[in-house]
Amino acid sequence: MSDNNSTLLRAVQQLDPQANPDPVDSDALLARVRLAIADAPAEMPDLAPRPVPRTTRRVVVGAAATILLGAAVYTVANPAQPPAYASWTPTPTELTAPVAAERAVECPTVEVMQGPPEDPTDMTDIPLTMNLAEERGDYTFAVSSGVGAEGESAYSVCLIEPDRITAQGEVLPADALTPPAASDVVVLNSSIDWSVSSEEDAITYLVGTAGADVTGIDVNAVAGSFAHASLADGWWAVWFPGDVDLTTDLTVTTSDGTTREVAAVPGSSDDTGDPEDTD
Amino acid sequence: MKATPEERFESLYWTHHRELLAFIRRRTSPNVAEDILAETFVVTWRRIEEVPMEARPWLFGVARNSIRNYLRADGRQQALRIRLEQEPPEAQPDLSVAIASRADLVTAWNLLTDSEQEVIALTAWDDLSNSEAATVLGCTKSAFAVRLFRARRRLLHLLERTGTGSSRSGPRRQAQGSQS
Repeated sequence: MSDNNSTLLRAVQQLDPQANPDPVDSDALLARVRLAIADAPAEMPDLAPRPVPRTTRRVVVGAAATILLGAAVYTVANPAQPPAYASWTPTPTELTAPVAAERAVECPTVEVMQGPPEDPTDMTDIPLTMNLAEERGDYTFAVSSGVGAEGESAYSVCLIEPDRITAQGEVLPADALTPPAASDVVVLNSSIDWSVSSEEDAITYLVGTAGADVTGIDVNAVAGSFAHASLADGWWAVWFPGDVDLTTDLTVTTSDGTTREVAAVPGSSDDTGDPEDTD
Repeated sequence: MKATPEERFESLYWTHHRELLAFIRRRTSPNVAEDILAETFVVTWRRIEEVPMEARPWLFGVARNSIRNYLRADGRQQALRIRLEQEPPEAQPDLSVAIASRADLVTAWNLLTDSEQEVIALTAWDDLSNSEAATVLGCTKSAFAVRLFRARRRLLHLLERTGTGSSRSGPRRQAQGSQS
């Protein structure tokens, strides 16, 4: 936390309306609690906190079946700035490691893995290392990943705007980050609506891993627009402004100059969780 | 030897009831705070076997849901507004005081969204760690960290605007404890 932010939180503490709370008769309050327990109806609303969502999803690209590739919609607050992402470009600029590290300094450095159902608060941090960072107009998009102590893997994406940073991530099955075959491409995120609300703008992104021979990936939107993905360190990523329907195929170029269309196919997925940024 | 359910319940009550009551009082009017605390402990008793060993964030989560349940039933909205005329709890010579006048800070605070106020308040007022606050809100720690970062930055931004003395103070909102 920066000095400014530490100072800010200390200042906010001064506003605490309960900084000097009224005295509490704890014994009388306990008696009241016991009375409430005795008088409570048999049926009550479920007021226990929800377990922290954990997502394990994977979509593999490369087989014959075709589906409409629904992409993750990743929301960011962006009030009073229409049109959103005006300077976005379909072709990214790759950033050098020092520049990427500097810009992504506030991005998450861990993805938190929820504990087992019997104790969901027993959470584990999966440390993340940046794999890719790109720039489109005024916006930097970074992808990080990591593997936990017990083999669980995770990725996190981070959108850095001039005045804000937002991030999302997923915990994945243990083998999810295994490098694909040389000319293959894997999409790691799946079709999830990431808590779009009226006050927030969205982006649509895809992130995944690519084989060693893959030199280019293009992604097309149903409406006709397209974008070149960034490729680095065996990872690829692309994003579009707004909630965009993407076509079924990615255009993948390999080092021998071959270009082919590959279709998105759902792989082993566990669609039981919700995206992490829902509330 | 493992504590009996009754012993565990008593231990949870005596360890946490004051901070839970403060948490509830910050978000509701004083005349209902003890009722909501009682409901929180009714839920705790009924689910005593499910209460995790790290009970604090779980209890705050129950209290938060109890508040929302009450406010929903009562047709009110949760608010963490600060009344400008409210006296500061105690004047303290601290670096943080230099960040702005109290009036500027209150104005900026009241311009935050409910969600932005909540993530900052969980940290600054309720003294929850990022991990605990994430459990209370039902999100991951990294998601909470990002939300907190975003809220802090917006507060700083608002503070810079209000601190210039400009008239862009936006709509005044209801004072804490007087939701309608």
